[in-house]
Amino acid sequence: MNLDRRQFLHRAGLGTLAVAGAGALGACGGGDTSSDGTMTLDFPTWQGDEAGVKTWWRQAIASFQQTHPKVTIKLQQVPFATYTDTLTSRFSAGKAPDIVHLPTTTFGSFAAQGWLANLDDRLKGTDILGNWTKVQKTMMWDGHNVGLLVLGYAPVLYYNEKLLKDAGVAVPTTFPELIAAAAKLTSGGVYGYGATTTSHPGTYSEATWMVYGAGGGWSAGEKLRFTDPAVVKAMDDYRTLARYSPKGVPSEQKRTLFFDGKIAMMIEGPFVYAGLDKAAASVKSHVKLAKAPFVQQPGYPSNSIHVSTQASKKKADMAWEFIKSLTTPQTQASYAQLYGVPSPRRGAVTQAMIDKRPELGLFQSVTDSAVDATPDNKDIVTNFSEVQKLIMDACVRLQTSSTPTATVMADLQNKVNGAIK
Amino acid sequence: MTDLTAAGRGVRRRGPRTRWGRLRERGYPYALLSPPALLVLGLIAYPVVLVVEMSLRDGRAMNISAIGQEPWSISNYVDVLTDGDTYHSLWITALYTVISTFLSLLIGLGTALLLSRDMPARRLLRTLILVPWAVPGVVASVVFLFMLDGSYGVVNWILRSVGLTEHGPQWYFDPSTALAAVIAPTVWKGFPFFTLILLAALQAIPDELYEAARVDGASAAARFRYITWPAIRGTTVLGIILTGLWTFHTFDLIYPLTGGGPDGATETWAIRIYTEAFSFFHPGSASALGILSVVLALVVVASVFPIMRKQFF
Repeated sequence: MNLDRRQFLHRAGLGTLAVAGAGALGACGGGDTSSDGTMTLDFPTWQGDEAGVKTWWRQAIASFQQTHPKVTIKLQQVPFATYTDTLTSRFSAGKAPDIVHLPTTTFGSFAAQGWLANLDDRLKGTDILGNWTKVQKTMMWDGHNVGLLVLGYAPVLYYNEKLLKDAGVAVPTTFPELIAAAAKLTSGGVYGYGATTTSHPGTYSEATWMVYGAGGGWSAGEKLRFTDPAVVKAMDDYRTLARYSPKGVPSEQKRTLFFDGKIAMMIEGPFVYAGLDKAAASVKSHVKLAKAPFVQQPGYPSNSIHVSTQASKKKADMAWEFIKSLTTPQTQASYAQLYGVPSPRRGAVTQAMIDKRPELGLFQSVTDSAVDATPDNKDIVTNFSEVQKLIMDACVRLQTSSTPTATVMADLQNKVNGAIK
Repeated sequence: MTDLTAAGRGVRRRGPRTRWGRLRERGYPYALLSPPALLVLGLIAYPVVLVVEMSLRDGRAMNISAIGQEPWSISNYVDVLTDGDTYHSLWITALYTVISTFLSLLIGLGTALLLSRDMPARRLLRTLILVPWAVPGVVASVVFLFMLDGSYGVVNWILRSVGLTEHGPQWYFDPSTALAAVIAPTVWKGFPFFTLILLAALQAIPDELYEAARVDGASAAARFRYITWPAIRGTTVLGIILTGLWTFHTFDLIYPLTGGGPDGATETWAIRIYTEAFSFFHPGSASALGILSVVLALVVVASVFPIMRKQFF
């Protein structure tokens, strides 16, 4: 077809208008519900493929969709390594998910941005707060509940009974015993203890357990406690223990090595127990659990669920309805059963469940008796990522240099002071 | 004789006679260019303007729509320029860029010289040598992470096997070895570019020059110095500048390997910008660092390029 210049410009103009018009119509077409009243809630999580808990999420979603036939919850698996970055980008662009699932370490940063909706009024009409774990208080921001804790736990001691027996080592019940046992067990390609020995969030968790487990803490209100003698001593013990660990391994690799029989002991969260299914056949029957040898059990929030302040009223209401559906005694019992971890709802783990899965009893009892191991300094919580990185860097220094622990901790205190100023 | 004047008048008559017509004719190419120009402006200029604005806003708002509500300030520039960590990461960036570029050049030059010779399977080797260049940075990182694993990596296994070390270095765990362990995949991925461009430059050198030099009794080193190097130095300089700029802002190779750790040993400026923005929620500081990195790159190139052009081109 031959076109002269005028015809070409005319048609090109019409084409451009058509494309622009279609785009404008498309942009106007978005909304909370479609014309037939159906609604889709976007729910990204890093737990979509995690053994045990993935089944719970899917069952909870299916059950909710059954009672809300016009609502579809779109679960979207995002790898943990990129999860916070993905959510940060989405919130920054004003495209927050409708249901917000957060690792608790990022809670403060998100709350400080005003991204998490106040749930006080919604919680008022429910029995949730009266029956929830006390670690729920970590979800408070400026005096308001801005989330619901999905998992709070206390770590336990995992040990390989055969390795301990062969070395003539008793299950440690105090920290000095743990260090002595780790030293004795480290030989012949076996590491006595499994610590996270690289720049990894696991490093922070483990150091925090040691410090709070020894009766210390990173802060006491406004005051930073990194140079307190008790904290320095706890970090010195942490440093000694790390000597009997494989070097340069992140948490996941450490767990694999334990289940392969190359690490004799490790202190870990209850969710790690699900990895036993993949343990080497020769190791499986020897994996045992005990209370971690701390002076006090450090309680640690793991993850939480929230409603975004960017969600429309309709979507926020429906997101809350979904969150509420997760808190029923049945759903909570199913959480403990499928995931094998303590449920945040009191009484959800029954004696019958414990008889069937004895480890649940230990997980629940240490969690119930745990002290809160989150810093009580709001500036630390707001700048948590930065403080966490500084603590991780200090841990790496402790593991790789000969600088005295007191010096490393004094340096850390200065850096944290600078970060939260 | 042809009447050129009449012909010329005839040509002029075909042009627009009115001022509006002339304007329309001149504007026509610009009108045609405007859609892509607007697209380019939108895709390049708008983000740059936004980054400049973010760097000049005091606050921690991560919502792009809310950034305009923060007060104007130069505090982000003051903060980053008075922070010792900025200079630490600048030093790490300089080491990483210079060493990676230099080693890539050396290996690239060596392989280019090798592949310019007649040898069996030369075509296959020329293709294979480009493979690292095509491998995504993240994939290369994963491969090196396994190879340099402190406990079970093949590199340490070799070092232990030949008796060089009892345990082997903890490459990505020890701050004293982490930078070298990050430079290794960077060089592996970067040298094929030098091979490619230097090979092209080498093939443009007439064989007669080498034959004449041989007849005159010139050694291999002399042939390289007086024939090869003058012919490829322009290309080499261009390669150094391009690779230097690419390496300066490398992110995908470093972040999956170390995330800037351990203890800041591999925290280049690119990693620091990312960490400030997405881990620490300091968009203003990250933007200020971004702007400063652009200025720094421009200053380095602008100050080095004239000298190199005078010397080599």
